[in-house]
Amino acid sequence: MAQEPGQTQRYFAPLKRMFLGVIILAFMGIFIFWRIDSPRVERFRAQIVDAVIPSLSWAMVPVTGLSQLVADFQSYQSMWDQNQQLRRELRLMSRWKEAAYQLEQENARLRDLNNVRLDPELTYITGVVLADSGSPFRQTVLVNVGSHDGIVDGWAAMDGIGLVGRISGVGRNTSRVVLLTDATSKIPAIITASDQRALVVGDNTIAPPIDFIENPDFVAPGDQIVTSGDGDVFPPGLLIGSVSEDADGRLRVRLAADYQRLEFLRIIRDHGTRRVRQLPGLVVPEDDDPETVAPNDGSIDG
Amino acid sequence: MGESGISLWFLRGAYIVLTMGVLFVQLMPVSLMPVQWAPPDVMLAISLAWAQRRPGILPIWLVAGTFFLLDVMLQRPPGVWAALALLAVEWFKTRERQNTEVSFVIEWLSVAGSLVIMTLLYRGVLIAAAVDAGPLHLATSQSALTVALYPLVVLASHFIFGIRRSSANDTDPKG
Repeated sequence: MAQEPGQTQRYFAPLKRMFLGVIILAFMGIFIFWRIDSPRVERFRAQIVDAVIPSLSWAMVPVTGLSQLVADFQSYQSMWDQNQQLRRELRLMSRWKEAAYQLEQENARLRDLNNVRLDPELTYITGVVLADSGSPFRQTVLVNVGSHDGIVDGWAAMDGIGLVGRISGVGRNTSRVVLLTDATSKIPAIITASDQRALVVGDNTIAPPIDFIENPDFVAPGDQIVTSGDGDVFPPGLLIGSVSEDADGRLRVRLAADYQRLEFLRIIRDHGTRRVRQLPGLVVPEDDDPETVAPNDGSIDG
Repeated sequence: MGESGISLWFLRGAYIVLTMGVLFVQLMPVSLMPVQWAPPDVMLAISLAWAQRRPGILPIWLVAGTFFLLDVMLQRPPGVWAALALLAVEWFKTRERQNTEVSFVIEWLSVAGSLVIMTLLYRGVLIAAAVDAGPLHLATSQSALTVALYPLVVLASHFIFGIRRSSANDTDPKG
């Protein structure tokens, strides 16, 4: 018996080695193909994930729920402190609420004066978070809505308050959201107080740094930062967060979305009204007035 | 092949179930905050331990399929880590045949060494292909934790699945 493996080994070793070589070459080929034509391979990946994850979710949902319950239970311990803190915040908030009511009324009056139409196409689909990326190198989540629900690559995902990420990879029943904290995430943004354009670049930390600010001198911590709609990535004006400064003096975003608790995401439907359809040449207004020729800037200012 | 077919297929089944379990735990959206350390590559530790004890459990197709699935599901660039893992497992398999009386410390050191080489090669390939390889401290913590986990995996394989190193004059068909 002890000799037998050795004998079969002699006959099968070259075949095995060849098989191994073929597989290694195939893997390297797949990697190179992925590097060259990433969207096609990523679509294939989305299909596999789409097939595997929903079949795991029946078990995943209760286990995840249970672990969040445990986390909740731990937070009961600090309930008294939280209660006091909430009371303080509530007092502050009621003042803000009053201010907000007044502003809302003023806003409505001004809109009425200006005859503003709000974009009726900015509706959303709500998805449940099924899974995360499974590795700390990537910050993505999988939501349970896909091409079946009309999701399209590139749409924005928000929680109730702030921007969370961008759809990248759509399967039939699931789609992947690349979070703002992911190293591949780059979102054109605008700092509202000073109208400075910038780029929010993910770097695997909870507070993504702000890059390419036109003039950093005009930016102060606490300023609000929203999407600019540049480059047709997102609809303009979605809240990202507020500017903060870290210990090294680098400007970062304190995200408005609550990343500790992403259970439901709103996927903002974007029908691409700002998309440029005729790439070359000038965009001529539709009322056929040849005198007024607008420059091709690709976006309506938001 | 000198090993009883049923226990072989039972262990292969266990390997697949373990893969699914690891995927399941890693994909659970418990915390979406970026972390400063990476969890160990459990399947790699299991594969290296089993390859040195019962190479028959892990044919090339099983290891290749498992690690390619992990690459796809865990959002890694497809193929690179799978190829490195497959090569490492095959290398440890041939090593098992050459000398069966290796002390555990040497085995552990060689696993640690191969992990360092694999991580370096992986990052080298990614950087050469101009793909973002991710923060270095994550890769280091992942390798370190995998090495730290390795003795536990060996013990668990021994006591749960009965996978142990066969001595040179062992004629037991179960290996």
